[in-house]
Amino acid sequence: MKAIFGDMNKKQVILLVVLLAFAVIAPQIFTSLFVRNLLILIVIWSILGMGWNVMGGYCGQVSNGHSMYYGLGAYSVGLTLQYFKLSPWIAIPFGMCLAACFAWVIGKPILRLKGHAFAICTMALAECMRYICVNLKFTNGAKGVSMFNKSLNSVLYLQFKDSRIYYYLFLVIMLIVLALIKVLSKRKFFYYLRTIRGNEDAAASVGIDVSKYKIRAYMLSAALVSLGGSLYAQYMLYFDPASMMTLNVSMMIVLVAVMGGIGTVLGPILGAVIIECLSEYTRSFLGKFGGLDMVLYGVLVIIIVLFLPGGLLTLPSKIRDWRSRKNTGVAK
Amino acid sequence: MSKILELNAITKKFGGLVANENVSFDVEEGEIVGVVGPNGAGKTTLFNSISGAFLPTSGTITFNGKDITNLPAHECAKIGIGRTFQIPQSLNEMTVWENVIVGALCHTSNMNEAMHKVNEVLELCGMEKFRDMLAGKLNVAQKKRLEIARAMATDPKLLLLDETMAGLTATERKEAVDLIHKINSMGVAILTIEHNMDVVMSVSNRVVVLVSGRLLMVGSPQEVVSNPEVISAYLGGGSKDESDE
Ligand SMILES: Nc1ncnc2c1ncn2[C@@H]1O[C@H](COP(=O)(O)OP(=O)(O)OP(=O)(O)O)[C@@H](O)[C@H]1O
Ligand SMILES: [Mg+2]
Repeated sequence: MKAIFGDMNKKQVILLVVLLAFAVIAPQIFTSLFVRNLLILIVIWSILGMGWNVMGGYCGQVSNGHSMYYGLGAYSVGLTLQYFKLSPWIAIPFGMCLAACFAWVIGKPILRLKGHAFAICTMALAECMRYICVNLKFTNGAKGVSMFNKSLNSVLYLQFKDSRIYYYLFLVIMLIVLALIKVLSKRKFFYYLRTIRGNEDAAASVGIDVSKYKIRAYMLSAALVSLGGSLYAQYMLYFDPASMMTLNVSMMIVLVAVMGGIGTVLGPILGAVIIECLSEYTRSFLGKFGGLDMVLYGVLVIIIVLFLPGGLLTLPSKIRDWRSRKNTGVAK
Repeated sequence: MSKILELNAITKKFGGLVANENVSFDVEEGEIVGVVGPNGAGKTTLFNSISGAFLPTSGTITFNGKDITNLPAHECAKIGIGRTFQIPQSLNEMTVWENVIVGALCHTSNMNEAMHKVNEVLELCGMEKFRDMLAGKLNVAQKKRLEIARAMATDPKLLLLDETMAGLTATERKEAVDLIHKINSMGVAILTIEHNMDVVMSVSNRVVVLVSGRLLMVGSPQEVVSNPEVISAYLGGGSKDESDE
């Protein structure tokens, strides 16, 4: 507990408790399917954002191909159910391990690349994975995987009629991930990642094995995104590679973290709230104008990148700066 | 006294350019050795070879009796070689305290132990007042000091200082000299690249002179400054005072 709340002041703790209380009662207040669906997506995307943030934020290695781990998580619950009737309680951790192993194998060669080269390479790899999944018989090809089965035990197989159960379950999982990130952010591992982001030569000069820590970050990042993918599949009970493993999804994952506050503990959650609200509402109101939602979306991203490069989490301090500047201006 | 560092015929080539050629000398335990030479003499390159940042083209490096020629930089740091960079490589988005703690985590994963070390090092380097400041906000002199602090946090047995005094005012230089003496009195051997001859004379037990990648001479500070070859190399190679960096 102390490791999680230790460095927060009273105000922050109260704010956190209020937000948490709101998160808990939200599905009771909002009864529409639309909002409940939105809430679940926010929780899932928070996990995705936090996962990406380990690699892209803390370690500074921007991956544009995290959709492959998102897909991997979905397939690991979908296919193990289809072929072995495996419970997601086992399949989810299995998928996370698989993602970590996969990240380890491909991380060895691709983590030698830096900056844009790494970003483009991850993007290309994710595209390859999508083609593979679309074309393999084993993965049901473009048809995707359908997991719904009335005869299954709902708790053992995480198939619920009431979407609130998904919400609360995912919320707990998300809070566990959040606590993990919060604790790690004050540990050697994350200090080392931030050092690598800052300067690899300096990192090596204080004894940090740069490639080893990059791989570890990539593995953790992949595992968390896979978790998010598993939860999404479990909630939808249907998915296909064309909706899960696209560049669009990869970029959304990046955006969630960048928009909220890259390399911060709470940034991805804030990012997920904003991005999901934006994209769901714009889609439902503007979707019929064919792509207008994406335009609005793009404009917002540009505004944030231009004026708040540190993400929305830096907005309060920016406002404070601006106010104090204005005040001193008046005093003169 | 035993030798902490032995360089044996170190050569480093960048393509056709020979940055170090057949350089051999050693450093005794607890000694301060100055390295001087005109711009481009290959001083920094030599440091990079010793600290594992580069692999020398040929020759061997022995540290504490162990061959470390092919050891990567992070392993060199672990066995006790600390270094600073000529152009400070501060972690600008992190605070001074955070910059130092990543050094202190070199030999422990325990945060409390590391924090203890940070306090010690910040006090040693006189940087407590900057502890919560972002390293990016420091001036050059402070950044150079932070380089030393970060390296010291790794508990080095040998400290490589690359022009830690360049660009410093006379007062700052004096403080830096004091710091070097303090560090040395803790039993840390120091190899320091320095252009300011007064500083070299006052801190070094011995001085190594590099010219165009080759070792010109090794000797006491007096021997070095009175050597006509050194004088002509400096004048010929373009003498350098502390104002240009
Ligand atoms: N990474 C590199 N690749 C190619 N050439 C290099 C590299 N590093 C150094 N050199 C070259 O090696 C030579 C020696 O450079 P070095 O930086 O070691 O000199 P120096 O003695 O430290 O000079 P200064 O006093 O200016 O710091 C120079 O000609 C330099 O251009
Ligand atoms: Mg140099």
